[in-house]
Amino acid sequence: MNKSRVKQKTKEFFSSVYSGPIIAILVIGLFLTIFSPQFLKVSNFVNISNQIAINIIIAVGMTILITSGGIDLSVGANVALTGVIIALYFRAMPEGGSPLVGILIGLGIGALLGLINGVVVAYLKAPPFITTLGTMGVYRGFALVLSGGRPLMGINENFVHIFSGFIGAMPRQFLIALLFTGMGAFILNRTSVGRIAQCMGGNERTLRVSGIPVELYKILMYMITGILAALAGMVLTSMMAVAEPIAGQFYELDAVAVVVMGGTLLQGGKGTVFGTLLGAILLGVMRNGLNMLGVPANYQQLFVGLIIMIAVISGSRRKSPAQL
Amino acid sequence: MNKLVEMISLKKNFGGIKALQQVDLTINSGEVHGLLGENGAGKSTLMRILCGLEVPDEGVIRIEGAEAEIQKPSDAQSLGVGMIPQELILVDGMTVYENIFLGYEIRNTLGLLDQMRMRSRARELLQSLGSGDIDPDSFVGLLPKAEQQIVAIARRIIQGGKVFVMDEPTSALTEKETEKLFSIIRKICDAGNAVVFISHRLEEVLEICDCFTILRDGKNVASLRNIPEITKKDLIAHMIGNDIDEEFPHTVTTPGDTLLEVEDISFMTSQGRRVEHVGFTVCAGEVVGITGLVGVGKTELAQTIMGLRKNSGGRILIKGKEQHIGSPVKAVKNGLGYVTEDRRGEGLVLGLKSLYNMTLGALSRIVRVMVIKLSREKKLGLEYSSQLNMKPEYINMEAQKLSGGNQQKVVVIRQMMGDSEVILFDEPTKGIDVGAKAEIARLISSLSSEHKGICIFSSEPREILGVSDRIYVLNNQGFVGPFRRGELDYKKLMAIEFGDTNAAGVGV
Repeated sequence: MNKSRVKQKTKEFFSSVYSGPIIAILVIGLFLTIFSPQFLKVSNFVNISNQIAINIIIAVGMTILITSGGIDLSVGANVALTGVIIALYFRAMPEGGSPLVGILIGLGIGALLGLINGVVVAYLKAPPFITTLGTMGVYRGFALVLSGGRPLMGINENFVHIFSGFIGAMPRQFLIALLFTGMGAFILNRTSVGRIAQCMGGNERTLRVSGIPVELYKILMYMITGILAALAGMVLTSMMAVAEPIAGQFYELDAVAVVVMGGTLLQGGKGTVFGTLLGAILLGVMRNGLNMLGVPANYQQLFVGLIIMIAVISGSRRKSPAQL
Repeated sequence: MNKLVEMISLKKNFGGIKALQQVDLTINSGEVHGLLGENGAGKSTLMRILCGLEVPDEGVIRIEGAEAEIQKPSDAQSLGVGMIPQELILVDGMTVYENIFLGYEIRNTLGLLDQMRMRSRARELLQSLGSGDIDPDSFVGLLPKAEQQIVAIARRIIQGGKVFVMDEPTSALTEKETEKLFSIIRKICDAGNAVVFISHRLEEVLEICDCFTILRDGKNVASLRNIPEITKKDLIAHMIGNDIDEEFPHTVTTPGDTLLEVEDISFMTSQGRRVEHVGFTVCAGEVVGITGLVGVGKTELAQTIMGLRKNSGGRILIKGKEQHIGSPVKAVKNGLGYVTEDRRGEGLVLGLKSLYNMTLGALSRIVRVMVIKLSREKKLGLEYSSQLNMKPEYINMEAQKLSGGNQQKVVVIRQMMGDSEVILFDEPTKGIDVGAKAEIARLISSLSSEHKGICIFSSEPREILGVSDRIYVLNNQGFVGPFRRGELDYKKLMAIEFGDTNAAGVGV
């Protein structure tokens, strides 16, 4: 490779949306390698991947939804409600129920919760932010009412093994997260649904005058997000072997944060699932680092917030909308 | 006559594309300077440089003899140079006088806003522009577009503007409003200022401009004074390089089956006026022109047929069968296609690749079990774009980066790929350059010879007369027609548009 090609490639890298999170991960990684002997160890990477899996699964759906111009703040509540309902099913069955039925119930709940969000947004024309802020409360309320406010034990053991544990050295839930990252990227870039999501976020009216049933596709986007959040709920329930009605709080914020950190435009039209994966890794490495450096929990919250802001601001500066 | 602006040897590249190769422009005080050229010739780039929206790679700009560094719009503004109309500079929720004095408020001795004086100054200024009927206290958002433009001009005058750049200022104006704008332009120039006038309407350019600078492919090709001998044809010749004899080539084909029948439909225009008893038919292989003055309700008629607007009464029949079209989804299912007038706002997803914009209406042709066959999509895009003389590399560019003509081609290709049987074109050549205009007209003609039914909604009389097999006119009294090709000439058509239905002597 001659010099000018190298230059060209370098330029391309720095102008791509991935450069920000990748550089940040490398810098923070280098810093932690120097200051914390524990960081560069396989066991620590396993630990990090374990922690970020759930965020990744939720954020993949959120990426598609935000690209289409929507947003869903009810995903955290969805995680809790799905877990609670599956736990109730397992507890109600004399033999502890079947894991497959449990999964189907979970996915069904996710689809239903997404459907409700989608119908309100698409047909009742309510703003997505407010709609899902409302359903966030409703779904969380159901989780609390159905569980009586208590953690529910008695999760089917086979079910637990599907979503947690290890394959070789890799945590199962992280592999699941990678699998769905791949699927999400494929949906967004290679399918008609993904193409329509990009158009919807870019200019909804174009779709409308072209005779594409915008409302149905919009609902579909919320259902995809709902299903993935429910999947995250099942993973979480398996990891804990217990369903917590108060689980998943602030998961929606983490998901939106990593989506935007990864380079997806919050106003819609352009999104990248791979970027979201990088955003989730960045957030995970950061939290892990703060832990290892012994930063007190209260300060951690502060640092994470600040770093998300820096990432989002630098992202929005680079991708400032084209001058028309 | 002193030189207000001199732009010397300007060069500007965008990536590999040479937008300006070496362009000179001199604007004298007191003149209306026509800047002409096809889209992509470099007009907009040159003006964006003058107004500080772009920085040139090379070249010198002198304002009133002194070399000027114009790095940002505020630099240009303080030198007295600015774009008009720039819709963004007006605040809808503020009154006319507040807008005019925004940032230049007059204060009294206490440092408070002197509303009385601002109001009376605004009234004087508007009167001097011959627009005394605009109330300084009315809200700008409630004014018609033409009056908003005048307010924007007044605002620039208060800011000390000397050079007014007007890019397509008449595209949204009626004939009367245009006349008024021209008299204002004259007044501005008589006061020693200058106007740079950019328009695709060459009749107007010939009417208002004192001299022309014509650009082609980023280079100067001609500087002319406007003498009576100069004709539209001369200007076109300079702009496109070789003479074209016919602006709107059209081959007449024998019409086939009736595809679309509109019977007695009624709808509301955007201004809230009710239009009733509209009926017409479109047959396969036929181009039907529907014309009328700007704002008379042509766009609304097209929207009603497409199910984008409520149809109160009347029937729409597709191939002889009545269809209740309540949404564009249903319209498209019935074989209707729609090329919207609002290309940027409605027609295109601007941030998306042109190719994706093209295939948006024909995803079923490139998709198998929801998965897009990328190679097939690209092949299809290249096939159609070469058919329309679009450069192959355009399909990978974002739609917002294309010129108006190419953007329109993208929208038309979408309809062609979607296999619509009846295509409604709303102002198909609005804001696109002469060469592309002829191409779009040729394309429309060729679509009709492929037995599609074409319906054109346009307020450009020459276009309507040039491409239509049958013409209907919507005027403030109702819906008139049809007239067969050749039955109307320019004068008759204008008379009918202005409401003189008997002038034609023929009809129905």
